[in-house]
Amino acid sequence: MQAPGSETQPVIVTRALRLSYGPHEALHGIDLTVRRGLITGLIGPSGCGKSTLLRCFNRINERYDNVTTSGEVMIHARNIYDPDVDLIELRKSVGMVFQRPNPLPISVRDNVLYGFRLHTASKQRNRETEGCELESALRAVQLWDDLKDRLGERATHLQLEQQQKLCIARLLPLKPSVILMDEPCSTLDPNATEAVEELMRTLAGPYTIVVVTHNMAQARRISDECVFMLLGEIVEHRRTEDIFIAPHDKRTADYIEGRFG
Amino acid sequence: MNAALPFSTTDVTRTNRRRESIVRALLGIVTALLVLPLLAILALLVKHGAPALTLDFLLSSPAAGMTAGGIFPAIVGTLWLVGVSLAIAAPIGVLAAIYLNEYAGDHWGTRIVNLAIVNLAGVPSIVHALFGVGAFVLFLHLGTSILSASLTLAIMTLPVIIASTKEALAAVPMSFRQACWVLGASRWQTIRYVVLPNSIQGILTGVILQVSRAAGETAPVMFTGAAFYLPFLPQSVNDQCMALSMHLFTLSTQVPGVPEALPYATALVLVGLVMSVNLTSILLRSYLRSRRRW
Ligand SMILES: Nc1ncnc2c1ncn2[C@@H]1O[C@H](COP(=O)(O)OP(=O)(O)OP(=O)(O)O)[C@@H](O)[C@H]1O
Ligand SMILES: [Mg+2]
Repeated sequence: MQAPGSETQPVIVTRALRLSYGPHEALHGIDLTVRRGLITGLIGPSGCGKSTLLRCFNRINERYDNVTTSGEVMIHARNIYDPDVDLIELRKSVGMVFQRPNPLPISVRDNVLYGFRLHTASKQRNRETEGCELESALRAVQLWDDLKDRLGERATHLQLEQQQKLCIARLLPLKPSVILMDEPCSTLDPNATEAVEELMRTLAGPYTIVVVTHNMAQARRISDECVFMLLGEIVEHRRTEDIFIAPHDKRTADYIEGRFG
Repeated sequence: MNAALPFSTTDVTRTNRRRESIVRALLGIVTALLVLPLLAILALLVKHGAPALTLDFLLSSPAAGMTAGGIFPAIVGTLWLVGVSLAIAAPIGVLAAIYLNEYAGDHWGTRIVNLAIVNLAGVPSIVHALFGVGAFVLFLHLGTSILSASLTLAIMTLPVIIASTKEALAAVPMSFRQACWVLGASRWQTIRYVVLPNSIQGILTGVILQVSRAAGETAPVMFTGAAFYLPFLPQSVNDQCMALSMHLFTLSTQVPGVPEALPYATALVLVGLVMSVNLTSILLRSYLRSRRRW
C-alpha cells in the first residue's frame, strides 16, 4: 500500500485503528490519510468494514453497544479519541449522510434548521439569521429554487433525491469541515444519483468528503482518491485514475473487474 | 389420472388444499367464539340492570341499608382512586421507561430491572393488596385512605405502563435517532424533539388502558382505602372513599335483601365506564395515527 502524492494537507489521519464489536474484530489496524477538499471513495465487498471505518470518524459507532476502539484518529491534528474531546463539537464538525435519506418528520424548514437551533443560543437566533442559514444551506444543495415555496411542507413527503439533498443541507449550518457519506445514492434512481453526484462535486473543495460506495462506476466518476478495503484492512489507496487503470495489488484488480464481491 | 397436462391438480396438492381450508375454518371459528362471552355478559347486565339504571341511581347515595338508593359516592370514589393512582404511576412509569429505553445500555443491572418489571406485572392483585396494607397503611402510617389505595393501584399498574411506554419508544425509527446523533444532538434533545413527539400516541394509549384496569380492581382497594359505605364524599386524599368495584362486591355478597337490579345496574355502570375509557383510547390512537408523521 502506498499513499498518493501529497498535494494537499491531510484532514483525517488514522494510525493503527482497530475496532471490535464484542469479540469480533472488524477493523484490523487501519492507517489512512484523507486529504483536504478531496472526495475519497471507500470501496470493497460487503462486510469489509467500510461503514465501520466511516463511523469511526464521527464516533457514532459508540452508540452501538459493545464497541471497543484502539489506535488514533487525528482530525485537524487532534486525536478524536482523546478523553476530553467533546463529541457534540466533533459531530458538528464531521457531518454524516446515510444510505436511506432520513429527514425528520417535520417541515423542510425545521429540518434544515434543526441542528442550527440545537447549537445556537436562542438570543442569537431570529427570523433573519434563520432565514439566512436556511437559504444558504438550500442554495448550496441546489434545492432553493425547487423548495423555496414549499418550506412548510413535511420533508418526508419530498422525492427521495430532494430528501437526500436535504439531509446534506441540514449539516451545512453547523459549518462542518468533513462530510461522511455511506452509500448516499444506493436508494436513488439513476437521474437522482447523477444529481447527487453532481452536488458532491460542487461541495468538494470547501468540504472534505469521504464516501462509501458499492458502485465501481460511481467511485470512478466522483472520487479523487480511492481506498480499497478487504476483510477489515486497507489493501490499496491511490489516486482514482491510477487505482482503476493500473491497480498494484492483484486483489484490487480482481475486485474492480468483478471477479469477486 | 391425467399426467399429461401441465399445471393440473395432483392428489398431494388436493390434500394440502383440503387441510388448508380446515385449519382456516377452525381458526376463524375459535376467533369468532371470543366475542360471545363479551356479548353474553353485556346482554345479561343490560337485561337485569337496565330497569334500575336511572339518573337518580347515578346521582344519589345508597339508602335503606344499601337496599335502595344510588351509587353516586362510589362513582366519585372510583374517579378519585383512578385519578390519584394515575397521577402517581404515569409520570414515574414514563420517566422510568425513557431511562430504560434511551439511556441505560444492555447490562446486568438493566436486565435485573427489566426482569423485576416483568415479574411485578405478574403479581396477583391480592398480593398487591397485602403489600399495600403493610407498606402504606401500616408502615407509612397513611391509614386506610385514598392515598394508600391509589399508591397500591399505582404499584400494580406501573410495570404495565413502563412496558407499554418502552414499546412505544422503541417503535420510533432508528433513522430518526441517527439523524439527531450526526447533528450533535444530546440524548435529551433527541428525546425531547424527536423521540417523544413521535411516540406520544403509543404512550398515551398504554397509560389510558391502565385507567380501565385500575377502575375495575377490587382487592387492592378493599383493604387500603375503599369503604363499605360512607355517607359523605371524600374531601382529600387522606379520606376513605367508596368504589364501584368494591360496592358491587358488597351488594352482591355482603348485604342481605338487595333487589337484584341494583348489583346488575352497578356492574353495568362499571363495565360502561371501563369500555368508554377503552374506546377513548382506541379513538385517540386512530386520531393520532392519522396525523402520524412518517
Ligand atoms: N453494529 C454491529 N454490531 C456487530 N457487528 C457489526 C455491526 N456493524 C457491523 N458489524 C460487523 O462488522 C463487519 C464490517 O461491517 P460493515 O457494516 O462496516 O461493512 P461494510 O463494508 O459497510 O458492508 P456493506 O457494504 O454491506 O455495507 C461485518 O462483519 C459486520 O458483520
Ligand atoms: Mg456499509
